Amino acid sequence: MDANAELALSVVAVMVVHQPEYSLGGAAASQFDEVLRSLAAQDYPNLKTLFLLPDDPGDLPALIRERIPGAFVRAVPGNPGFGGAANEVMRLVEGDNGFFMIMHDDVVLEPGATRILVEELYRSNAGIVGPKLVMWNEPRLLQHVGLGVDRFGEVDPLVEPGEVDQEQHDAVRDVFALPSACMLVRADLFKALGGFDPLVDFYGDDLDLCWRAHLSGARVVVVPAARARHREALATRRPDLAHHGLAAKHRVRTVATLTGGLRLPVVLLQMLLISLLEMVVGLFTGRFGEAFASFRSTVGLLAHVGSIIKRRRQIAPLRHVPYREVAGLQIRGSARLASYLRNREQSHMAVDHSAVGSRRFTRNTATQVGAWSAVILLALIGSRRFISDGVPTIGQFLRFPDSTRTLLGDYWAGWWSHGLGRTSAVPTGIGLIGVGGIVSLGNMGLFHTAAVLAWLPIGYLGAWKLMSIFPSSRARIVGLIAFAAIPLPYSALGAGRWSVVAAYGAMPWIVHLLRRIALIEPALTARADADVADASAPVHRREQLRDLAKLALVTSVVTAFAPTFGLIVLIVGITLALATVVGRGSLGAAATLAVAALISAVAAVALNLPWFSTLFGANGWDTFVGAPTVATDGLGVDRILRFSVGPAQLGVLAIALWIPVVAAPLLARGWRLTWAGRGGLLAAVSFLLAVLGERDALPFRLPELGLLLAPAAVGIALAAACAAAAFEQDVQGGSFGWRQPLGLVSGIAIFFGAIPAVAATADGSWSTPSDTLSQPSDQFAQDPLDGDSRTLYIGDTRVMPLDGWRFDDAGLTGISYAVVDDGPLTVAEQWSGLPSDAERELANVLRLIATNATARAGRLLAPYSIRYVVVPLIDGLTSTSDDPLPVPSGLIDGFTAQLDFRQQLSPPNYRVYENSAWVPTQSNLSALAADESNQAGLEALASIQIAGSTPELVGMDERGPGSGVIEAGVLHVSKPFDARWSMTVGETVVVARPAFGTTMAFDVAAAGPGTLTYTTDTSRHVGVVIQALAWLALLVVASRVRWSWVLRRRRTALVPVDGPLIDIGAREPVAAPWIFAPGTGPESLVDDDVTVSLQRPASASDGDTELPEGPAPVTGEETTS
Amino acid sequence: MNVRRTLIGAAIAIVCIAAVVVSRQSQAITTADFGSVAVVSRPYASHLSPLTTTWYCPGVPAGDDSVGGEVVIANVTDVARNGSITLLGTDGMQPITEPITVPPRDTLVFDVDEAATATYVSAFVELDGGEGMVEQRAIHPAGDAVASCATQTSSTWYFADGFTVSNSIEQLILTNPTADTANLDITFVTAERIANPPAFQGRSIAPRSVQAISIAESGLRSESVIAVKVTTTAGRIIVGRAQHYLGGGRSGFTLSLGSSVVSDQLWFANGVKQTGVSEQYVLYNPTEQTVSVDVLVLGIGLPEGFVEPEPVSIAAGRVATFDTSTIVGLPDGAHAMVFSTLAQPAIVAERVLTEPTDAGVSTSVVLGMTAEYVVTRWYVPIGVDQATEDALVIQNLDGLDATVTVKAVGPAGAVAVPGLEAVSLPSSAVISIDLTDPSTFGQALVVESTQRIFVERRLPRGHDLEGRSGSWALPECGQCNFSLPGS
Repeated sequence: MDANAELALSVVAVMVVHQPEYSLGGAAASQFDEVLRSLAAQDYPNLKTLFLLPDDPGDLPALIRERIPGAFVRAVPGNPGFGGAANEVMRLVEGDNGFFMIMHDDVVLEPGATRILVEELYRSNAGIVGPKLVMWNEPRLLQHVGLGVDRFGEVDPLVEPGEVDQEQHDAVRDVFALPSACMLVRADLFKALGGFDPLVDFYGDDLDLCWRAHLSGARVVVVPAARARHREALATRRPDLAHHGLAAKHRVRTVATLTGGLRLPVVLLQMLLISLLEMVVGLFTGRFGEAFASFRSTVGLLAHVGSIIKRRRQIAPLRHVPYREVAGLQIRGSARLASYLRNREQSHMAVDHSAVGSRRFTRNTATQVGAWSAVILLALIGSRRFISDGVPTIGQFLRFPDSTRTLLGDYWAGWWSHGLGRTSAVPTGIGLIGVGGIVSLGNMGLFHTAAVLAWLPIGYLGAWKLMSIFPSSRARIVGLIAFAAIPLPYSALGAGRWSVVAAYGAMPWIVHLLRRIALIEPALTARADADVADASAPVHRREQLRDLAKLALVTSVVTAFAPTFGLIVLIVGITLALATVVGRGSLGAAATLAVAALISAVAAVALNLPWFSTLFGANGWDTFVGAPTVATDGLGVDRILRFSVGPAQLGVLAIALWIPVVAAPLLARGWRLTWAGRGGLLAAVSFLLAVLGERDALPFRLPELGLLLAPAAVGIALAAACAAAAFEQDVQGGSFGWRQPLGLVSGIAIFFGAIPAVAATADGSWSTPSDTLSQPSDQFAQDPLDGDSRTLYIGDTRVMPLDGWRFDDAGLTGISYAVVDDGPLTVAEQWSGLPSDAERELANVLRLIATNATARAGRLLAPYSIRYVVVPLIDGLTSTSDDPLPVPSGLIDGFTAQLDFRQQLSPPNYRVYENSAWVPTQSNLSALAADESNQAGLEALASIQIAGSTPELVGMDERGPGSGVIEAGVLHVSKPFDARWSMTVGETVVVARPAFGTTMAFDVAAAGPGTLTYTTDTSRHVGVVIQALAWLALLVVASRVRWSWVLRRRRTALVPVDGPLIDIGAREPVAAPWIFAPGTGPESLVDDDVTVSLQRPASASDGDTELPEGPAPVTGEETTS
Repeated sequence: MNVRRTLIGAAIAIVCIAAVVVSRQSQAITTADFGSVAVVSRPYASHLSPLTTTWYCPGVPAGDDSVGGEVVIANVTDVARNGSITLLGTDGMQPITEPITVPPRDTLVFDVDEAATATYVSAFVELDGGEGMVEQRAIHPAGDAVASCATQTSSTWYFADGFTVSNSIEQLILTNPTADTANLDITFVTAERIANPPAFQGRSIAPRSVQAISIAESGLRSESVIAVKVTTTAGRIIVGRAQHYLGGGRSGFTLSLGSSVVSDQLWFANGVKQTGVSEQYVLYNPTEQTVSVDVLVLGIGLPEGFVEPEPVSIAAGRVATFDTSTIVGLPDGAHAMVFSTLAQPAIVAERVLTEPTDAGVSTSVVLGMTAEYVVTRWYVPIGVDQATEDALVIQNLDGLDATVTVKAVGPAGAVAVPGLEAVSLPSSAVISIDLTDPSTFGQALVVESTQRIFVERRLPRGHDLEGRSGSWALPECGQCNFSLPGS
């Protein structure tokens, strides 16, 4: 040990190493190596190093010792977070006569940094000092020169994003806080303060420590002469953390524990109000998550009042300075609001550590607010009648049942009341709506409206997220606007196509999540010649798994309502993979895209079991793409290009939105070109599929047009954003050529292309037809006195108001039919599934009508309680008054020729026939019918008149139980025979028997009070529970829910297992121990230029603290855990 | 342009070009088709097996004891046929439904006027399966009339002939067998004008009821030609026509079923040129286009001097008459006639045959048979009760000689009538067959031929009246070339 070392007080550099990525090798390991070398190169003579390694250290100790032979390495049990780990220094270092240099493991110190810090600490008589931090990849850019903090704990970075270091901040000055990335703190002060707050694991640990230092009277000073490079990449290095939530939570905790008692109530109230305001603003800026985290943390204080009080009591002895003096050091007003207004917020791209360099992501917040305001206004104005009057009952917008209990009960019971009813797996969508009803507190009308309209902002937000790949605010905004300008969802809203609206809303999330799973990130290059085709960012496996779970979750939810959505996702994944290959991106990424899409599709199937299993069988494809239609002239290419799938007359200008698809690949370079290819190919493939579907050019039918076009919406938005980014980065500023005009044309195309969408907002309901074909069911009484009944819908599949079953096996007629119970149509009619045997028998009866094989179809339909037959003619969408579809040949004549049907008065858009031979759903059969009910076959039915039966159990719930007085005789129940139904009359249990070959009857010997009951199989309940658990598991994986109590237990398990490693000697106590005694301060410095020429403080001059001879080598075996 | 840009651009371009190519493919546009039920222009017998068959009879008079009617249900199969008969009547008569069972190889005669009393009573018969046959016989002092019952209701009905000269009574019998109210409009066409009397526009017929309308009520009195078109705006009905001739060169009573369609060819087997016989054809064009109707004489060898009749031009919505006496060179005797539009179906044609009797004349009116029914087997549910000469008139439609067999359906099944086992029918000729063998009396008959034929009946008028009523036998279909709606 040389003389300088003997004179200098010990500095123990304490570095908490988050080692997983270093063990991966590659760039991260190389960077850590640079960190170690910088420490080894420090010219401070008495520098000791202590490395704290949470989790399994692997071979890092060897690596560290290779670079710094005298380094102390200790494993830290559990994962207590940065502060908790750093606090180990208090246990591992004996004495307080020295300094702790707390460091992150991604900081590279300049060789003289430690020395300069120590010198300035003496000179300024400070308790904590810190260096000037610059960007890792671009050291000319400033990162931090201390931190300003307001009374709410919000940090003002003090430097502008991307601000170039021109020595403008090089004066030593007091700051409120220093980043914990690198700070030199007096050991006695650190120990007196108790180190970092152990409950602040990440984010805010530095603020809390510095704030307490101020309270105790210590100065916090930034020393710009000392420089360090810092990656500051916690967001990507620890993707498992809820960053916004942690930051807000810790900030609020710090404010609550350290703010002066008198000021605290006002400050908390102000925080609450500001967080509320932020939430509102966050809706428009895409920062709602952060704002909500702030709000939640503030409100959450109530739950932690006890611990806050306890903490305040612990800190009370440290309060040596009047709080007003501390408050005086804080920034006035709101640092967050100030930086917001000054557009000074900075965001970190996840690619700071990219191999090709970095560029700061800048925001133009005012423009973002404008763009978000525009798209939200578009949605609100266009949907105003949906919001004010409720969603019209059209297409798939069938109303939700009033009771959540009914939905969940149906789901639990397993009696699927659709059609004639059957024991079958109930569609998952029913369960999801039921759960949604609970979330909406049973306000099903509101939930219905939200469930339809929410997909718009969800889609916008997804597009916004997806566009975050572009490091340009302008590109992101253009992408958002282009996506919102696509007329597809508005056209689909007008047509009542819920599945299309949902696909539109979900699709950008699908692409976004696929991208994240494939680790595709923008390569932010400083120079064009360094540009690459694609870049990837290492992401924690857990985060990748979470994204995959999110992808599966989104796919599963939409698949529950649009069964082909999983297929669409698969197509999107394959298309993106192909585009990646064509764009010479990473083959691994391409494979991941396809595989992730496949996994999500499979997961969607699995999560929708057992319902999904019921969709397969003869003509099962109908359940995915609907019943077949006859050949039509289609919409034409122009209407496909205009996304015109509904009634809204969308102008031809919408076609202009496709221009960026062509322009982007011509404009872009580097990774932007790859994305242009992805967007372009996505749009082109979607367009091709739409045309193939419309032209029926494949051997099989494709999903509905709107679903096929949903990926195109994302593709166009991607292409538009890509064109904007390319124009900004690749074209602008270059020599004039054809690219500049093309870029302008692309931008102008978005502007004009948005006009049709804006125009579509005029009527406030997206041109929804005023007369809908759901009206017939509205006009039929629900639970009338003459008994419950059903309605048969039959007609051209294109105008059917609800999904039906094909009329003919070959699917050539273009006719479909459906059966509904009396009363208004509900969302339950949305899932037709495959017809049961009884429902197929209905088709047989209808075919008898079609072939003139009977004039008594009314009698044949009577056992199914079909009282009304509705023939839809004009739906206002496919068939309009001005251009009606031809009435299916033979349909009207067929029913008119029947002897039991009478036509009811109805509007011209549909015809209604009443079956005079019907019998109620539950009825006591006439004597003649009772006799005949033992016979099976249509011949028997056709020859008897079973009308005249007496209704019973009127208004009974579809799945029972139904109670009432049962007359003696034969109780006929118009449901397919199922032994799970039973009847109790008085004390007698009556067993069901088949009636008329298909339905059910109960032979009641004596009248009495009776109950008709359906008994659910236990297997159904087990299935539902398994399914619910599967959904829950996926939700947990997809969420950031952490079992914090478990983590806390793991933290408390952090107990000393060994003694101190380093002894830096003890300091004699003085009044203010961390204030140097006179004559021992800066003036005692000998020479700034000498490597080590520090005089020991007087209090430490007694030499009672011997520095150890040198750090004892720490072997791997010595590492404790 | 770098390779990546080229590859990406090419990929997008290829996909877009493929989409454009596919979009240019045209495809046949079709209409949704619930059921292409054939347009049945005339009743027929079938061996098909629908679930049930319903026969709608045009109605018989049943107002008093002097008139009446019966419904005859023939079952030529080996199993009994169950069903029901429902009687609907005018004058607010409540429907009457009675179950029936027709024994195998037998006929069931249901006496309508015994079961119900009303000015007119219509019956519809519902039978299990499809092999029964139903006809009606109206009993009237001026002469009984046999008519087939229809197997389909319709929204349009046509009659070409109408006659109110000398206070002759002509009535339309409108039957609505369905559960729905029918609304209809009636158009009358005389030689001079087209009349749409307000009283007959928007007329309603209650469910399961019958209305009888006297054409004279429309003001069309003393008209020798009155074509009728009945069109429903709601519902489907059956329309029959009762004619009681009281002078003006006609005499007798007819009751026939209307035509529910217009046709392009109408055939008549029983034409006669003979002194004192008036053979007149009434041609009605209810369409909105003028049509030219060719007139062909068949069934005879055309002698020298025969002059092909000129085509008859009929203006849109108008009616015309054609008298065979105007055919130059037409020899005396039997012949057949064909009226053809050579274009789209457009006409309805009826033959008015007035033959001399000892007491004056006897008039029969028969609707032309359509070209779908050129078949080899015909059924005669209502035959003769006594020996009758020239009871059947058979026309050979093919250019080959044929052999005709007439069978009577009895307990032993269909058995050839002695003497009628192999009747020679020269090519394209018309012959008459006598039903004199007792085995034919009261039995359903089957006429089989080795070539395609038409069979008309010339049945006695009853009540000891001379002259014959005219009606068609029932062709057996299965191979009938029915047209589809709209074709």
